[in-house]
Amino acid sequence: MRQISRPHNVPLRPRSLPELIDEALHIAQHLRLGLAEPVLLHLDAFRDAANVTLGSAVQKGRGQQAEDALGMLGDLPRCLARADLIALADALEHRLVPALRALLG
Amino acid sequence: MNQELLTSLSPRMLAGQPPDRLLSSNLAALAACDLDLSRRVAAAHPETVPDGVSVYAAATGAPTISAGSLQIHSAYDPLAEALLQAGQVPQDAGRALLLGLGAGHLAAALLARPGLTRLDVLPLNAAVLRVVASRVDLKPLLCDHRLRFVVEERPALSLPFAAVPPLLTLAEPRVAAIRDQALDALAVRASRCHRDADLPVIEAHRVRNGQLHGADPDAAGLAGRHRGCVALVVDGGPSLEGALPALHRLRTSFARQVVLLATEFAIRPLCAAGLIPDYVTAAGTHPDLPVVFGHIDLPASATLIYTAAVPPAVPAAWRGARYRCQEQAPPAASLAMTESALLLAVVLARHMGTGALILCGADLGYPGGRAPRFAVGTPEAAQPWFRQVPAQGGGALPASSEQIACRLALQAFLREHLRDWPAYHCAPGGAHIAGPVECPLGDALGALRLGGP
Repeated sequence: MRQISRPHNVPLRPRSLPELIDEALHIAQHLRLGLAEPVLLHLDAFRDAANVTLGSAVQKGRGQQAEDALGMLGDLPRCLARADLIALADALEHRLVPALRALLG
Repeated sequence: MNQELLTSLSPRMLAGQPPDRLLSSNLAALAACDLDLSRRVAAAHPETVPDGVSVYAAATGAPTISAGSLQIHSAYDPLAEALLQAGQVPQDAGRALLLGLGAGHLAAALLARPGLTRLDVLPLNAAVLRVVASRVDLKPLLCDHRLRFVVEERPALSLPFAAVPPLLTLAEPRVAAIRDQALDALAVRASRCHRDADLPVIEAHRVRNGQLHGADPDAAGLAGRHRGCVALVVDGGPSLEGALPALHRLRTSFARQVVLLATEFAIRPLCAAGLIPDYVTAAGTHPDLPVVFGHIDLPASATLIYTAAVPPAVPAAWRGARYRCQEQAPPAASLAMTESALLLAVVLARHMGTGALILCGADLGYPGGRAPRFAVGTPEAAQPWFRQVPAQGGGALPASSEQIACRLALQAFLREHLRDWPAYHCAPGGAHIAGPVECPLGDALGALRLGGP
């Protein structure tokens, strides 16, 4: 029986904004199809990577937009805690991704 | 997909239409399709749905539903979401099954395919349908002659199916069986998807294991090795702890009659209790396995049986004999890519010619939301988004997709062998496995004349 834990084979590395956008859309699509688990296992790694990328954007003087995107990341655990996978997909696809795109310019 | 058809079928909220009037007209259309369903919807009590159901306009203006704290359809663009969900049904399918009508977006997305000649719809919750019917005009959908409601008492999941996943959680008890089949099917898809993500790691392990341990003999050579013995297959689920005293007695008094096969997750609790298995199966790609194996005094008397997918450090750390499941040879050909050490142990037990099987500690879920004491890695309590599966003796317990996929594969294997291979599943509180006798370990031992309770 395999136990569930954070996957160790997902390297924690800063992703570029386009990579983060692709990853967020990928996770959202799986959530909408009920294939949540494999991608949810990667959600922690995704959030950590997004925090690193967005933190770096704040330091580069793109504060407000990056702060907005960081705020969106804060919504994700609440959806996860109540197993509200469609709301989680909405938060990723319709709030975080637009914030990341705004940051891209 | 026909865009015009999609537009005409898509459900709409009608401004200015009183809910009672809209409900009446929808119920009339529903009665033309299925009179009994129409009566049930008319008599349903939406207040029975925990925390209530509300239908409101999403950002695009299309209707969306929330049930209590759960969003059923997207609050932004439910139609785009439905088109994605419809993709689960092959494009060339002539007939499909829809589990749950919801606000009707997924039905519209499927019926917009001109090639679909019939859509069987199984409403999962009459109370939700009543709320939807009082807020959304469903008549364009209900009047499509290709839409039929499922009337069978016990419908089966035999067609390509689509579902709005959160609606499955609101299914009424009378459709629980097909809901469970759908959740199992989704779990298997999710498990495959997880496995696919691991393929590069598996391939790297396969190559490295070939280089380092290519000379290890094939597990197929163990055929008939324990003819007539009882195979005791031990997994590391929470119920194992309660079985340890009986396992001790068994190893002391019936060592020659019983062959003990432990999975990679059971070896740690067994060794901690002073029980040395005869065989240990390893099939997981989990990178923490070498750490676990490294922290226990590995028994030199136990034999390791592993698939090519395991981290090469696992066979490298093993002190005793080793067998590799060769990818091209039975019985392991179909198992070479499995991630389930439990399934591998059961198949090998049969291959070794054993006369009966006892499964112990194979909970295949998280009874009471608990993770086992000796879990690998950083175990978390059962996640709220895990699926619920039927438990032994009734009730339900949360289970991961991989546990569900393993249970289904195990059931399929046992179904073919139970006729001449009695099997007992002893995991109180664990998941129900169809086929084997479910009983306490003591009863199974008594039935096999190996002592008793």
